[in-house]
Amino acid sequence: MNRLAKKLLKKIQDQSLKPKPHWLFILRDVLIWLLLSIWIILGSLASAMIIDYLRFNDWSLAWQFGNYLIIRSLPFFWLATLIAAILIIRRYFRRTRHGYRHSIVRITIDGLIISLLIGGLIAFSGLGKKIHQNLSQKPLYYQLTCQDKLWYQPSKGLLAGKIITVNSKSLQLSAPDNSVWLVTTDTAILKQANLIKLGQTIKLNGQITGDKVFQAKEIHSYQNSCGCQKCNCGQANSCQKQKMK
Amino acid sequence: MERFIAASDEELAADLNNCPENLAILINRYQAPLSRYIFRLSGLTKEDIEDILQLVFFKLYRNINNFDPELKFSTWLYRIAHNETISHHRRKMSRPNIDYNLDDNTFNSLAGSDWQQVANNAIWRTQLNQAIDSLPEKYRQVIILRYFEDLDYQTIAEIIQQPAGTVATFLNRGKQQLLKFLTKKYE
Repeated sequence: MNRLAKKLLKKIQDQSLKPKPHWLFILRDVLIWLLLSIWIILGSLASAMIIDYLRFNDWSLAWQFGNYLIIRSLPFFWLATLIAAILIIRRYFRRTRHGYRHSIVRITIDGLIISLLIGGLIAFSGLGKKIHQNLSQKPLYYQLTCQDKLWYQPSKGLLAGKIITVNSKSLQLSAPDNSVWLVTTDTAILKQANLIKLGQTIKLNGQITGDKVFQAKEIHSYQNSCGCQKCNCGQANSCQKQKMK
Repeated sequence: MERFIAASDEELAADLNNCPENLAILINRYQAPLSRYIFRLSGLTKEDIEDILQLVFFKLYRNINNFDPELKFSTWLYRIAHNETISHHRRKMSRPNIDYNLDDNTFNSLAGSDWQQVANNAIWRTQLNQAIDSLPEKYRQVIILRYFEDLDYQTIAEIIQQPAGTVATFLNRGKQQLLKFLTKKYE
């Protein structure tokens, strides 16, 4: 028996060492796959939110304001989540038993495809929107994702709010900051039917013509992204206060 | 004892849980080839190589229940040796320092009638070693496994845990860089 063999066998005997049990390696594999599954789910959820954004974003309005609005309205939180999911899936898939046999490019593409497929199912089933509405009740999530304030920038020609009075040529709007705007609508183009009615939440583009006076150019419906039906748009805090009552 | 000596690597490994003495037979079989491989990969001293070998066989024993039967035992063992050598190399943060001096056998053979041929071969071997040493780690390891250990692409892929396509790419790029290095040297 050579010197190295004697040394090792003595160490094994002296320290009563045994091989690690098989279940330990199985547990490690299970944990890696569990981590991968969690990130596949998160990646799919992010994909669903991004798909919903692409479907429901007001592109006609966004294009009018050019790159500024398009970029500002991107769902950065969900894009970052999707990228993080793909990177983590890529890293940990290669640590699975046979994951190293696949190229990084292949793993990245496959991970993206799986996320988009499952995300598509979530989005088109309407589940994505329900999840977003439920999550929007959490102040932190609302801060990170809801873009109500984006549509309320009067100096840039964007106004949003709830209709509180209506007549043939004008209406009054209760804006997210509780201010009241007089909006002249005689030359405005309605982007959808039945938009001008009491209690309806709308967004418009146009220009300021006086103190809290706005000349509307186009009137659009407003998808209330915080999902709160009782309060004004963009007022997540009041949603929370109402819930606490 | 003859029965154990004749047993395959996989049979010895399968019984390692109950029979640690099988480790001695595996060490006898693989100590020399692994020493050569570790030296080619890293250029470490004899003492460092022994330290790595001790770790390799220790890890083999402790992780035997993680052996994937889809692999050949030798492939799995080379993988452990490869990973330990790379880790050791990175810990030391040093480039390989292979001794390029001509050995005694080469000097002795210079006394023979074809001393010019022997001298040319020795010089060529030294320059080739220098060229291999100049390669980035990822190319150097596949060149050594392919041309010095004489392993096929699939086995190399299993040892370094990369896709077979990546092995082919590394080999190709490694050879191109070797050619560039040697061409420059002779300009």
